[in-house]
This record gives sequence, structure tokens and C-alpha cells, in this order.
Amino acid sequence: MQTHGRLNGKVAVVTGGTKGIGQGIVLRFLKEGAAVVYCSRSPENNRENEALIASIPGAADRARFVAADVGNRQQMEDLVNNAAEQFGRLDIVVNNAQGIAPVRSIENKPDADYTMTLMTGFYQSLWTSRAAVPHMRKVGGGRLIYFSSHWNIWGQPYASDYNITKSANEALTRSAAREFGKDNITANCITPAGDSWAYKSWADQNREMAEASVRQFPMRRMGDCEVDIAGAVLGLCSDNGRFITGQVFCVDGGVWATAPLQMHEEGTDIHKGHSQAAVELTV
Amino acid sequence: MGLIEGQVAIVTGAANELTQGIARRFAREGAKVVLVDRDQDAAQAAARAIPDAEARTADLADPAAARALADAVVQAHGRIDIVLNGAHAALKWDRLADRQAAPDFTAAFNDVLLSALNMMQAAYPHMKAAGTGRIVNLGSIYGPTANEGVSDAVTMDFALTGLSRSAGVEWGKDGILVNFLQAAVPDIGVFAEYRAKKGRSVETLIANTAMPRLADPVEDVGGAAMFLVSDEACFILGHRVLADGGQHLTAAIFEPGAER
Repeated sequence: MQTHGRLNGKVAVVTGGTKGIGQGIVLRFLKEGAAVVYCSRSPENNRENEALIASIPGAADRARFVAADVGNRQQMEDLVNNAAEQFGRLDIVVNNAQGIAPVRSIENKPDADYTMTLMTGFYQSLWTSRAAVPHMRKVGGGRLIYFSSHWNIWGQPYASDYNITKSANEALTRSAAREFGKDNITANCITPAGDSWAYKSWADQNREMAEASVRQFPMRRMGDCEVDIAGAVLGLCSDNGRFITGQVFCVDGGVWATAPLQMHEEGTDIHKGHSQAAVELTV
Repeated sequence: MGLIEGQVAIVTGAANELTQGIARRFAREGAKVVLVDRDQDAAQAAARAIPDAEARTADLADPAAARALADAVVQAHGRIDIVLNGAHAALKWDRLADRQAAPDFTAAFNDVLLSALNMMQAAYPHMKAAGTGRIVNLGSIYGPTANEGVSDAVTMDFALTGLSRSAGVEWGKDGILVNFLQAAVPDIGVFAEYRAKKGRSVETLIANTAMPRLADPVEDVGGAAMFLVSDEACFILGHRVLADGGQHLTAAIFEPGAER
């Protein structure tokens, strides 16, 4: 992986940066020269990052872990404002984190699931953006990155709470692009297919099904969090992305264009899949 | 060191000022740029303005000419890492019912769609053998937005959208990523003439765009092109990417037929 100092002098906030895609973004941003403030609920979640960041020359001084709950408005505002204060500016906010509820049909899904997913996904994105924009104006521009999901594109069954939250993030992307464009702030949304902790956990327990799902990818592989997913986020946050705004990017090896088969059934653990038919169809 | 240091980029449609801006950006990031146009003088003039660039002449509407070009570039430089299909057909501003016959799509079909398809197929075997490659087809804001009198551009935009998506799906397994880059109205010479005549409508367009400025060919559109050909977009294919500061979200306000 090449490094080019593409984010030298920039300050970024990444929510949920201790595992999977968020971790990939934190590490990639640090390697490209940014100062990165990232959060997770517990300091214990940060142990792996501490070791990984220590191995990146000069990165330890530019990395700050904060224990915070992305469903808590005050903690999200503090995360952003403290990052700007500690490092003297703020250029980038990546709203990566998302709480996930068990897969259940619309008929059986409790209201509390919708509230939780909206709070930890949409409201998190809203709170951090509101807090970040004044800091970005001071430095003459900025980058807002939101997250959507393939599940939302195809109306993945039994995850309506999650899909609705991701649609809200896409709508926020367009509105933020329109409202903050004059301040030289771009807003874009990522629809990733990466080997996140959730994917790895599912794939470990469902090898055959995981292989079947990857056969549907035009690139025939799942994305690497740091190389593939964080690569696109880096590009949008670097100077190359300065005139790209209000768009949703499928960073997914092209699977958006082919649409995958259903791999989950209602009532199962999200990390387990049961659709043998899907496996057979892709052989 | 540039983002595409030592890579070889074929940039077609070299007479187009917007395309030249992208070529300049590729050169700045370390690529050897081969500028192609069917007009020899235009290709040479474009190449003279870009460090270490070379000019080649070909009518890419002919598949044999496209194959010969790709083979010649590989023979001279050993590889093709990037193809940017940047040809542009001048708008005729024909409304669909303006004439007895349908509007003439020949220029848009031959110079934009067919030339892109031929160049993609000509580069494919070389990129497949290398196990890697990036192809970017260039379009305009007409497609994401429409207006009266631009059915030729809008129709070819959707054709290029489909071609880029299909090629992306078919060639992803070969490590070749095909995407479609759509630029906002660029700040180029041709447009300056229009702006001199229709200043008010241009000011209205700019004021309504999320990022209120015209696209800079090198910094804005060239930047988005770099996103697509560098290590950044290494997992994106078949996609439409707009280098437009949000122009696709706002009204297309140009007065149709104003050029006549």
C-alpha cells in the first residue's frame, strides 16, 4: 500500500474506529499523515489499535482514542469539539459507527430497534455534522462522510430498522451537500462491502455461504477494510475529492450492479445464515 | 512521487479542453500520457502543452484503428495502465421534433459511444494480461440532468452508463475497473464564449450549484479522475461518479437553442 501524505496537516474524527471498516479508516488516515480522533464504547476495544498504531512511524502522537457512545448526543458533540480543540482544527468527519439489532420481520420488530438504530446511525451523523461544520468553516472547507448499506439498496428482509437508518443517512448526505457546499464542505456516502468484524464473524460460521456470496462479486472477493474501503474514503477526503459531493458510492467490487442472494433468515443470529438455496444457486 | 508514477495513460478526445485538463493532471501525478485525436493538429497541440506527453492520431470509431493504437502504445511503452475516453461531440441543440427526421445522433454515437467501446476492447487484452487496468469514460452533466435540445448528449450519457456498468461487471474479475465520470459545466474556452452571450443564465446556474463555481478541468475534474485511476477507487466499478460540485442536484437552467 502506497502512502503519499495525502492528509498531511488534516484533522479527522472517525466514529467506531477500533474494528473492521472504522479501524481500517483510522489506520489509513494515520499513514497518510492526518491526526485522527476516534471512539468506541470501551477502552478495552482499543487494545488492538494501540499496538497497530505504535507500529506506524509518528502516528502515536496524532492518534487519540475517546470512550464514547455514538447514541449519546452530548458525547458526540464533545468528541467533535474536543478534537478541534486538541489539534487546533477540524477537516474531516467519518460517521462509520452503527448499532445493529437482531434480524426480525417488520411485523415482529419492536419500536425500540428502530429508535436504537436511528440514534446510533442517523442521529450520530446529524450531531457530529452540526458540531463539525463551524470548525470546518474556520479552515475554509471540510469533508463529511456518511455510511449507507447494500441491505438498504435491496430492502434486505428483516433489517427494516437498519435500512431506514441508512436511507436517512443518504438523505442527510444530499441535504448537507446542498447546504454546506458554499462553505467548500463536501458530503458523500459510502456503501461498503468489506471484511468487517460483522462479516468475518458471519463468514467464519458459514464458510460455504460466504464463498457463495463472494462468487457474486464481479471482483470475486470481499473488500479489505484498510486497502479498499478506506482507500475510497481517503480519496473523497483528499484533494482529489474536492468537487465530488452529494453522492453515494458503492465501494464493493461491483456487487451493487449484480445484487446478491438472500443469505439470512428471520429470527437467526445475524452472524449465522441459513439459506442453502442461495449457496446452490451460485455454484 | 505521484499517485500514478510510471504508469501509461491513453487519453482520447485530445481536442476537448476538458479532456486536456485531465491529461495534465495525470502527467502531474507521474504518468506518461498518450493524447489521441482524429485531428492530428489538435492532438499535437494538446501534447505540446503537457510535459513528456506524446500525440497520436486515430479515428477510434474504427475498431481496427483502436486496436492498432493500443498495440502501438504497448510496443512503444510496454503497457497500458489507464484509458480515459474523453471524446466529446459538439451539441447540436436539436429538439426532438425540430425536423422532419429525428435529430442526427451520428456524431454522438460514433465519436463518443462507439469510440469508447472500441478503445475499451482494444485495451482489454493488454490490461487482462497485466491483471490490472483502469478505464474511465467521460460524460457531461446532461444525463443526470436534462434540458431541451440535448437528446443526443442525454441518450449517449445513458448508453455510456450502461456500457460502463456492463464492462465493469464483466471485467472486474480481470482486475480491470471501468467507471463513468461525469463533469459539471467546465470553465473552458468554448464555454467562455457562451458565458459572454448569456451571462445571466450562467450566473444563475453557478449561484444554484451546491459548490457555486464552474468546474476547473485540472483541479476539480482532474482530481475526480485521479480518484478513479489511483489506489483510492480500487474497489469501485461500473459506477457513475460526478465531478460537479453538486450540480446534478440543481436545475439545468441554460436556455435551449441559445447557441443558434
